[in-house]
Amino acid sequence: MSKRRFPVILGLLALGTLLLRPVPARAQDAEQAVTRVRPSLGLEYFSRTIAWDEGTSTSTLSASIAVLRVEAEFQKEARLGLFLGYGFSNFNGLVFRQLPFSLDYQAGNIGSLIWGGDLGARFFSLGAFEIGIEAQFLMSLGRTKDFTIPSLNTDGGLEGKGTWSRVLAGPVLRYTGYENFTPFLSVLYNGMWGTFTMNETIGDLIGSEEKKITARGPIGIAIGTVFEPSAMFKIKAEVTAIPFKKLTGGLDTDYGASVRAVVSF
Amino acid sequence: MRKIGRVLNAGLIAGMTALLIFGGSDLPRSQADPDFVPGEVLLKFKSSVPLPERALALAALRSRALARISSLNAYVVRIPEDATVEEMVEAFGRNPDIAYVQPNYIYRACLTPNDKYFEDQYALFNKGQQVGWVPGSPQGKPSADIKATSAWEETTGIAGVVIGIVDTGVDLNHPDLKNKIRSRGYDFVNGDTDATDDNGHGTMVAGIAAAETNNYEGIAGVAWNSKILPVKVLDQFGSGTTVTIVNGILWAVDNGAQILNLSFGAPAKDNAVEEALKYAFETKGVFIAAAAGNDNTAVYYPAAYDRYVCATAATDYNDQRTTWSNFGPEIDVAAPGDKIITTYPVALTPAGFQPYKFQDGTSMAGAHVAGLAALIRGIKPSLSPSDIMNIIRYSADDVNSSIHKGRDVFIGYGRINMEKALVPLKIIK
Repeated sequence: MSKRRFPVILGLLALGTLLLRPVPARAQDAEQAVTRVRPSLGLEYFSRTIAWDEGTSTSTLSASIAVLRVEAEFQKEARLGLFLGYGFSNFNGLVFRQLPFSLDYQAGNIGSLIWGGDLGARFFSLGAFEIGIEAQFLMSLGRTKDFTIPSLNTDGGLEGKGTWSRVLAGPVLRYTGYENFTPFLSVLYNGMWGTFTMNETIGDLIGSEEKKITARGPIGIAIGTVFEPSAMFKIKAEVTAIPFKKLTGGLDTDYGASVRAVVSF
Repeated sequence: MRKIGRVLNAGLIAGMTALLIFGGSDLPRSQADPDFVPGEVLLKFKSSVPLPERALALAALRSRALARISSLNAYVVRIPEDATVEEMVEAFGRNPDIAYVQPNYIYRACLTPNDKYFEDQYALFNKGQQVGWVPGSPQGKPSADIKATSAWEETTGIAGVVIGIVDTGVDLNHPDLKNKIRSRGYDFVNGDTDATDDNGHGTMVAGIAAAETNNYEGIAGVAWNSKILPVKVLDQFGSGTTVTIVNGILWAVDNGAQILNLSFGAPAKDNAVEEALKYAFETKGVFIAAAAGNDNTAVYYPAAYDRYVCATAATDYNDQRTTWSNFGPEIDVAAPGDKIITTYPVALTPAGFQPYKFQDGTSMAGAHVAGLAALIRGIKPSLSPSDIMNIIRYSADDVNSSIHKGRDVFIGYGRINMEKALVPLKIIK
C-alpha cells in the first residue's frame, strides 16, 4: 500500500459513510438514525498469490486474522464498522537476492496488528432479492521478527518485517427469503499491496532489501450466508475465490474464508 | 426450502470454521536440517495392516494423512505442530506395523555441464571418482568439492564480468578458451598486444576460472560466462619483475578487469606491487585472488597483502590441506589445488595428446576463488571487493574443524563453498 493511497481510501470510507447515511425526515428520526451498535468477533483466513520483483516472481501470502469489530447500523439501510485485532502473516517463498547473502524466506508466520474499517449499504430489493454494496479497508502492521542464519562460519542476524493492506469493494446480491439466514453472493474488487523488508547483518556484511508485493487477481467472488438464530446474535460466514493469471500462463485460483460472530445490544 | 437452507447454512459455517482452524495453521519448521519438508513425514505401513488400524496409528501420534502415494502404498503425513520431524520419525519408527518412515526430503536440481572431462573435475563435483588418468590414481572423497553444480543453478555468470589473468599469458586459440577471450590482452614481457602464453601456467589458471562450459569440449570453468582478459607479466620460464607485474595489474584494471587472478608470488614485500593492488582494490573496486605459495612456508606476496587480496591455500580431493600449501594468518580461504585438470596451450602439448593437463598448486586453488568472485560480482554488481571477499570467507566450509576449529593459518575460514555463497540461504524458524 503506497503512502498516497492510504489517505484516499480512508477518505473514501468516510465519504461513503456520509453518503450512505439515511437523512432523517424529522428531528425525532435523527435520534434514531443510529439504530444499533453491535460488537462482533471476526476470524479470517486467506491465501493470496503475490507478485514481487516488479511482477517477475510470485509466492503465496497467507494470513490468519482475528478482530474485534464495532458496527453501527443506520436504520437497516447502511452500516459502518471499525475493527482492531491481531493476525499472523506467512510470507514463505520471498527470495531476497540483493542482500550480500541471498535469502529464501521460509520462516513462517509473523505477528501483526490488524486494523481497518468497512461499510455496507442496501440499494434496492426485488422480491426476496436485495442488492447492495460493501467495501472494506484492512491494514496489517507486521512486527519486526529476528532470525538467525544457519550454516555460515560467522555470527549473523536477520530482521524481517512485513506490512500489507487490502481494499475490498463491490456489489452484493442477497436472498432474504429464509427466516433465519441470508445467503449472499458478491463480486468484489480485491486489491492487496504491501512491503517486506529484510535486514541482514553477517560479520562485516550489512544489507537491507525491501520487496514490494502486489496480490495477483484483482477481482474475487464470495459466497456466504448470514445465520441469525436470534435478534441478538448472528454469524456471517463466507468463502472467497480469486482467479488470477499465472506468470507461466494459464489460470489459477486463490481461496479464503471468514467467519464473524455478531452480538447486538 | 427452509430446512434445506438451514442444512446448507450449517454445513457452510462448519466447513469454513474448519478451514479457518486447520487451513490457517502454520507448522513449525525443523531447525536442525532444512533439507526436508517441515511438518511432514513419509511413511509406509506393512501391507498386512488394515486401514482402520492405520488411521488409529496416525491419530495416536496426533498426525493425519495428507496424501497417499498409491503405487507405493505410502502416506504423506502431517505431524503435530509441537513436534519436530526428527522426533516423529523416531516415534513412528517404534511402531512395528510401519515398514519405514522418513522425512520428506527436498531434492534440488543440479546443473551438470556436458564437457568431456567434467567427470575428472573433482574440485567442482566430487563423487568419489578416480583423480587422474594414470592407473592407480587415488580416489576422492565424495562431497570434498566446492559445490559448483548446485551453485550453477543460481548463476553461471555474465559476460560483463571480466577476469584479468595476470600471468604467463593465455592460449588465445585454445578450443576451450578462444570464445572466452575478451581481447588479445597485453604482453608486458615483450611489449606488444599479444598476450599469448608461452609457458602454460596462465592458460591453466584461465581454464579453471572461466573455460567455455557446456560445449562438449574439455573442462568446465567455474564462471561459465565470464570473459578472460589475458595479461602477460611472466616470461616463458614463469618469472616476472616488479615492473611487468605492476604494469600488468594497472593495465588490467584500467581495461575492464573486475576480478584479478594473481597466481604468482615471492617471499619479500614489494611497495610498488602493493600500491598497484591498492589502486585496483580501493580505486577501481576490483576483487583480487592470489595464490599463497607452494613451499609449506609463510604466505607469499602479493597474497600476503591482507587488506587487498584474498589469499588462497590448497586442499586436495579429500578436503585435506596439501602438504606444500603455504600458511599464515593472511590465509583467507582454501580451494582444491591438487591434481586439477585444466586447459593447457595447444602449442605446448605433445602431438597426439589433448591440450589438457592435471596440475598441482595454490595457483589452481586461487583460480577457483577468482571464478567464484566473478559469479558473485555478476549477480550482485553493487558489492564492494571487501564484501565479495567476506561472502567467500563466511560461506567456506571449515573442513579441518576437527583439529583447527574456526579460522586458522592453514586454510583460513575453510574450503570455499559456491552453493552457500550464491544460492539463497533458507531462513527457517
